[in-house]
This record gives sequence, structure tokens and C-alpha cells, in this order.
Amino acid sequence: MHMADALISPLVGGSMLLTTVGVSAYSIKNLKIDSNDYKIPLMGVMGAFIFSAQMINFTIPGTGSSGHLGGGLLLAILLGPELGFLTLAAILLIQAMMFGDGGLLAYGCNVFNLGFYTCYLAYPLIYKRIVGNAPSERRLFWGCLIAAVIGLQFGAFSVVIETFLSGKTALSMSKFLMLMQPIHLGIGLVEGLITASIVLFLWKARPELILPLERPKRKLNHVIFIGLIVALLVGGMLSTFASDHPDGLEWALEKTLVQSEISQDAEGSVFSKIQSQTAVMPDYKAPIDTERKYVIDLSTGMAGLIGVLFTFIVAILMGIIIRRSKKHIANMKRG
Amino acid sequence: MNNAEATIEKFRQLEILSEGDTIIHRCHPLIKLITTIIYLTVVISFKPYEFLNLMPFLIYIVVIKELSEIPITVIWDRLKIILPLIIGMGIFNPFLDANRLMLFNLSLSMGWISFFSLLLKGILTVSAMILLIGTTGINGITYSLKLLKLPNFFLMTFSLIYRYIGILLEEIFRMSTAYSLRSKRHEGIKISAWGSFAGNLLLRTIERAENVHRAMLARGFKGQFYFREYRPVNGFDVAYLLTWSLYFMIFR
Repeated sequence: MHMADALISPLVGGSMLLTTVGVSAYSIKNLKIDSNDYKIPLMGVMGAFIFSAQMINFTIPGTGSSGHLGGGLLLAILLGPELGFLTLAAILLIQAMMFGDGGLLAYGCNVFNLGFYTCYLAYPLIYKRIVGNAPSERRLFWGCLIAAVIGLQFGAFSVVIETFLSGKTALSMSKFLMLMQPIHLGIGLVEGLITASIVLFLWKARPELILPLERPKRKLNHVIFIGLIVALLVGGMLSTFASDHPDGLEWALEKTLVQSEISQDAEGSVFSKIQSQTAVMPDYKAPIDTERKYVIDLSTGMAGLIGVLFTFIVAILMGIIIRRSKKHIANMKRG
Repeated sequence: MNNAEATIEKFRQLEILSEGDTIIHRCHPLIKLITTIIYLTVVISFKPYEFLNLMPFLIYIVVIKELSEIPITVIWDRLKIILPLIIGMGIFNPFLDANRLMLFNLSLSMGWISFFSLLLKGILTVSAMILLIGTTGINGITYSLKLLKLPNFFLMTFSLIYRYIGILLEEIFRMSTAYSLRSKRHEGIKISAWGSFAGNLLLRTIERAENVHRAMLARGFKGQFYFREYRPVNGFDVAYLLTWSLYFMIFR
């Protein structure tokens, strides 16, 4: 579910990066731990564990396919939400860098989608409510399962919103949601089952690891904090609407919400003017005109093809020149 | 089951590549990071139909790839992970986009243009990222992040995770090999062993963290983590950044 750089616009990426920086700063501020605390190596090794455990193929019975551990919820259960969130943020940075899975600009989106909802929403509001202060096997199982499913549903919903606002898919938002949410329901269930199995194993082997940590109550702070996040998100996203160049959003909206309106308004005539100047075959004009469609004529098409070919040739030539000159320099050195 | 083994290999490969000694490798890590961020921002800022305008940005990738001698297979390995997602997101464009393109009397959906530009953006952004890591290495990136004033606490966690991934991956590789050798036609972990397989490793991991912490304290750890230091930014680095920024600006 990692967002890629190519799937977001700079504005959405930037807003989400700012939001993630805000949540991280909040997490660090709330920790108040010594810098030589035991938790630092614990976070390091736990992060490496989650990263590596994602490579384990857990066979899903009756399907032949395999599921993988997500990790956000397990980190929140074992380390608490703040440390869990920061550890997941570090894991995602390594994944983005080593595998290109995610990206630098989509980094904020990924940390938010996978870390915020699991650590700050699913863990305190669902897992902790179900498990309570007296954990039992049943409570732990349902707590993990439901929290994992809901956390991932929010994450998937976020992906839809971010992609839609970035205008990268022609799918309407409702169709995109219909596609994403059920898939992630399945993934969430498997992830929840894997997390629950690990937590139940630990509950039998080292129950003290699962016991809820004593934490000071910060209800008011949390409210302010969540309010800030929402404000940042809404502010960031709304600025897309206010922008002079609404990026891909306009494009996406044209496709879905306001297509019929646009086709009837004045904009249509602008396009028909452009078209009348560029069309090679005026006979073909009438049906296109009524539906307001862009037309790129033969000459523009040709120019485009030539442009693509030209750039490819330049790119290949650059490559050859660099290789040749390097060989030449190497020979000179040897000679 | 050899996901872990393949991942170890990918890590080693990038580590070895980042130790190279080319003109790109010698450039300051922070300069390379900033150039990459500018490049990524410019590339993704193009609108869906601006396929042709993206073409000059391919030259950056070719130049850096050739100068840094990063093999194309390293980039392709990463592209294989991300391209299915991008194709999945963009494949509906040709069918849903009502705008038409006339090419040689052929009426095509403009969605094809937005689809291919999305695909090209995916290729360019992933390649730029891999070229950055392949020429800078994780140590260089950590140092740049330190210069960008990221909190020490986060950087410590980041480098510790990176250092222990190799050890844990090897452990998972050994465990899963042992498991699959003892199970009949079971490549993955059966549901009855989900908890104990990962749980046992987790318990050992937590013990390992305790040992690591004791070892750190025994060696005088006082909360200060030392990162590899690099030379200061010089004239070449500034010229590198300015040249590419100018190039990006011209073609934007």
C-alpha cells in the first residue's frame, strides 16, 4: 500500500510531509527519555525485526497465497504509540531508499497512512478499549484483529484521497474506494491474524511485554493534537482548490464530478476555437465539438513522435559519449 | 521462501555500489540529496497530459547512471516492485478519459498519454532515488539528514535499524530454511506456527536489544551516536547543484 512519488502531486506530498513532521515532533516531545535509555537499542532492534519479519511468507490456509506482517500495530503494542510511530517512520525511510518502495516525496503520505492510523488511532481507540486493563486471550485476539482491520481501512482511504487530490487516476473517487477498501479488508484480516498470533504467543511466553504500560493521561493534549492534524490536512488539501494552477485535481474533477457542466459552458467554445484552427479534417469536427474533446491533429502528433525519438536519441548519445570518454580517460591513465 | 536472502543481497549490492569512486560518488551527500529532491518535485509537478515535457528529465537519469556506473539491473530490480502499482493506478485512464487524440487518422484516448506519463514518472522517480542511494550510501544519507537538523534520536534509531536488518534477515533466512526443510510441500509458514515462528524470533530480538544496550554502555555510550563525517561542501558541489537546478528550470 506504499504510495509512490509518481502517484502524488508536490502539494499533496508537501502537506503530508509537514503533517508527518508535526506528528513526529509531537511523539519525540512526549517521550522524555534519556538519550542513553534502553529504549533506543530496543527501537533499533525491533525496527529491524519488523522490517525483516515482512519477508516471512505466512501461508493463508486454503488459498495457496501468503500474507505478510504490516507491523504498525505490533510496534504500538510492544513499544507504545510514540516509539512505535517513530520506529515505523525509520523503517519506511529505509524501505523507500533501499527498494524504491515508497519515495522521498511520498514519504509523508506513507508514514501517515501506515503509522498514524495504526499507532494513534487503532491502538489507543480500538485495541486498548477492547483489551482494557485485564487482557485475556479472547480480548487480545479480537483487539488485534479489529484494530488491524480498521487501521488499514483508514490507511487505504487515505491513499484514495491522496491519489484523487493528486489527480493521477481517471477513476472516480467512489469507484476507486470500491476497489481499494474491500482489497484492504482482506489484507487487514490476514495482518490482524498474524499480529494476533504473535501477541498471543508473547502473552503465553512473556506476558509482561503485553501488559499495558502505565502512562499519564493526556486526554486534552490528544484532542488538541488531533485537531492540529486535521487542520493541517484540511489546510493542505484545501489550498489545492485555492491554487491558481489546481494541478491534477482539476483534471480529476473534470473526469468525475463536473464533466457535464463543463461540456456546456463557455470553456467548450474555447476548445472548439482551438480545434477549428488545428483540425486537419474539418468534416470530422461536428461530433467532437458537441462533446468537448481535445483534438491533436496529425502535425502535432508527428511533432510529438519526433520529439520523443529525438530525446531518446540524445539520451542514448549522451550515454555513449560518457562511456567512450571514460574509457578514453582510463586508457590515457594506463598508457 | 528466499525473500530474506534476496533482500540481504539487495542491501549488499547497494552497499558495495555506494563505495565506488566516480565523479558522482565524490560529490557531497547533501548536495546529491537536495538535487534529487528538486528533481523529484519537478518531475511530479507535470500535469497528466505533459508526456513530452518529461522527456528531458530522462537525460538526467542517463547521465548520472553512466557517470556513476550503477548497473541498469539494480534500477530494474526496484522498478519491478513499484511498476505494477503504477500500472494498476493508471490503466483505467485510457478507458475512462473521454478526451480524444487524433494521430494518423486514428482516434485514441488521451488517457493513453496520461497513462504513459504516469509510467514514465514512476520510472524517473524510482531511478533517481536508486541512483542517489547507489552513489551515496546510507551513511551519506544519514549524514545529510543530520546536516538538515533531523533529531538525533530519530537518526540513531534509523542507523540502528539499518545495522541490525542484516543480522535479523540472516536469522529469518536460517529459520525459514530449517522450517521448509522439515515441512512437507509447505513453502510458507502454516497458520498453526504463525505465532511461534515470529514470536520466538521476537523474544530473541528483545534479548538481543538488552545485550546490545549493555554492550553500548560498557563501551561508554552516553547518548551520543557518532556518524561518518564527510568533507565540507566545495565549489564543485555548488556547481553541480546549480547546473542541474538550471537544467530543471529550463525544461520546466
